[in-house]
Amino acid sequence: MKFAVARQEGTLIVTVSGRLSSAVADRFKDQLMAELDQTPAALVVDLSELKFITSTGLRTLILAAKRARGDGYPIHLCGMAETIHEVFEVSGLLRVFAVHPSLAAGMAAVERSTDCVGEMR
Amino acid sequence: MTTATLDLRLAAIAERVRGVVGPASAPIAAAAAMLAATPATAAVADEIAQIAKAARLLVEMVESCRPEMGEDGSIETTCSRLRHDLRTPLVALKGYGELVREIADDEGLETISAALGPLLEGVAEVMVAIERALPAMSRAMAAEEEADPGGGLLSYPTGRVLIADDSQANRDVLIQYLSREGHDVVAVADGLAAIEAVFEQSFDVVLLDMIMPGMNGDEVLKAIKAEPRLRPLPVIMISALDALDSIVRCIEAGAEDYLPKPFNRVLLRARIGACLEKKRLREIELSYLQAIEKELTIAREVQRSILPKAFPAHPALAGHGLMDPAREIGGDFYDFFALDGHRIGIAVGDVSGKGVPAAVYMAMVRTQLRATALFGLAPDQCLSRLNEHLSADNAEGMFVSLFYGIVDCANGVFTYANGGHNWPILLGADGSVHWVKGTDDLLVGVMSDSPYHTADLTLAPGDSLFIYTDGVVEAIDPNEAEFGKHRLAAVLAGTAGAAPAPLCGAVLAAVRSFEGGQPHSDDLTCVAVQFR
Repeated sequence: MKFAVARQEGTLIVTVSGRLSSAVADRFKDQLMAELDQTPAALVVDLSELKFITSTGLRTLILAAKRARGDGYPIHLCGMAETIHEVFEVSGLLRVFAVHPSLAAGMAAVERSTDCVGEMR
Repeated sequence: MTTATLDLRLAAIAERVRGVVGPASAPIAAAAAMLAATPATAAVADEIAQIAKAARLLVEMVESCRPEMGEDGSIETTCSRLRHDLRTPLVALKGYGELVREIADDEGLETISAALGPLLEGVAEVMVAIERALPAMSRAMAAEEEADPGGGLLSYPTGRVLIADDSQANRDVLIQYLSREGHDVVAVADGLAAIEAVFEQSFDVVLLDMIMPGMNGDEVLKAIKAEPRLRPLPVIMISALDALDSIVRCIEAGAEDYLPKPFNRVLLRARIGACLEKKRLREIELSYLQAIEKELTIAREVQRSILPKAFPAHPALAGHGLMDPAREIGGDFYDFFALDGHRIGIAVGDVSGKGVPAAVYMAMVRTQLRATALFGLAPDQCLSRLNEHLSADNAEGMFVSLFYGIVDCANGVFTYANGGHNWPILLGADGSVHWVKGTDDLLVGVMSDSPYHTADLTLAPGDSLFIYTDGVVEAIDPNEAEFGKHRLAAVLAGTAGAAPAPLCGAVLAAVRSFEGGQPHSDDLTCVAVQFR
C-alpha cells in the first residue's frame, strides 16, 4: 500500500494505491490522521490506483469523514475502480462521501463548493 | 621489565619447550624413522619423505628453541609466534600422515598402516604439550586482570557456562574470570566429561576446546547437536588461529562462534554475552507468542459460544449455519431464533477489524439484536435501534455490516433489512439465481440517525436463501485471484434443490478447493434456509 500527499491551496490531496488490507490499514490511519492535524480546507482522496479495501480501511475513511464533519470541511473520493465502487455501494457509504469518477472531477467539485460540508448529520 | 628479566623469561620459555614438548615429540621421530626404514611402494614414497622431513624439523625446532622478543615487547606475542612456528611441522605431519594411512589402508600395506597409528597419536600429544608449555591464558589474563579490574562498559546477562579444556591452567583462569563476571561455571577436562555434563545438567552456553585427548571438540559438538533437546544450546569453540579449516567445519556443524587462543578478555565477554542475550530474547519472544495464542483462543471461544446451537424447528422451514473462523478472529457471526409460532428471525453480520476487539463487539451486537428482535419489531426498526446504540460511544469507529430478516413460514414472505452487508442470493428450486438487493442502507454503527428500510420477497416452495459474509467472496487462490460473486452464484446454481446443510457444505468445499490449501485470512460464514 502506498500513501502520498500533496497540498494545493489548502486542499489536502491524498493518493492511496495498492491493497488496503487489515495489515496496512493501521499505518494508513496513522498517516492520514497525522496529515489532518493540519486542518485542510477540503480533503480529496484519489483512489484510482486502489485495488482492494477491507473493513479496516473503510473505518479509516469513516473516521476521516467524522473528523471532517467536526472541523467543517468536505471529503471527496475520486476515481474508484468498479470493485471498490461496489464495496462502497453495498455498504451504504456512497451516501456518506461525495464520490467522483476522477481526480479532476473531484478537484473541480472542490472549486465549485465554497461551503458544502457533505451529507453528514 | 628490564632486559635482564626479559632474557630470563625467554630462557624459561625455551626451557619449558625443550622439557615438555621435547619428550612428546620423541615418539614422532621414532615413528618417522620406522616409516622411512620400511620398504615403501612408489605410491607413498614421496609422502613418507615429507613426513621424515617434518619430523626432523620439529625435533630441531624444539632442541634449538630460541625465542626472541617481538617488536611490541610483549611476552605474549613471543609465545604466540613460537606456538605458531612449532605447529607448522605438525600440520605437515598430520596432513601427510593421514594421507599415507588412507593409501596404505586401500593398498593393504599393513606395516605402514601400523606405523602411522603412533605417529598420528604423537602429533596430538605434541599439540597438547605445546599448549602446556606455552599456555596462552594464565600469564596474559593475569596481566589483563591488573590492567582492567572492572566489568567493562557494557553489562551482559549472566548464566551457566560449561568449559571443556584439557589444560588445567586454562580451566582455572576461565573459572576465576567468568565467576567474577557473575556466571555459574562448571569445568571439565575432556570431551566425554563434557558430553556427560550437558546431558545431565542444564547450561546456557558451552566453551569447547578444539583439541582434547580422547574426544575432540568437534566430536563433542556433533554429539550435542545430534540431540534434539540440546540443539539450541550455543557452543563456542576455543581454538588456535591456524586451525581455520576445523573452525569452519565446526561452524557448519552448528557451533555458534569461535574464540581464538590466547583469549582476549573483551571478546570473551562479548561473545558469551551475545549468546546469553540471544537466549533471553528468544525466551521473551516465546512467552509473548504464547500470550497472543491464548488471547486468540479466548476470542475464538467467545465467538463459538455466541453461535446458535440449532435451527428452530418448523415443518415449513429448514436451515443451517456454518462459520469457519480464520486464525485471527474476523468478527463474523450468525443467529437464528423463533419469534413466535410461525416467524423465524435470521441474522448474519460481519464486524470491522479482527482479533479480540472484533470478537467482543460481535458478542455485543448479537446480544442487542436478539433483544430488540424478540420484541417482534420489523427489521428496519431493529437495525435503527441497534445503530443508535452503537453510534453513540464510538471513538474507535467500529461498525458492523448486518443483514436481518424474518421468514413468515405461513406464507413464505421474507421481510428484511440490509445494513451495508453483502447481497444474499435467492436460489430457485430450478437453479435460478437472483441477488437479493436491499436498499443499500449504511453499515450499522457508523453514525446516528441513519435511515434503514425494510424490503420483502416471497419464497416459493423449494426456494433457498443463501446469506454469507465477505470471507466467502473475498477468499483468494495462490495467484491472488478472488473467489467472487459469480463463482459463488455458479456453485449455488449447481447445488440447487439441496438441503441447507449440504448447500453450505458445498460452498465451503468450493472455497477451500479454490484456496488451494492456503489458510483464509477472514472468517467464512454462511447461512442457508429452504422453504418447503
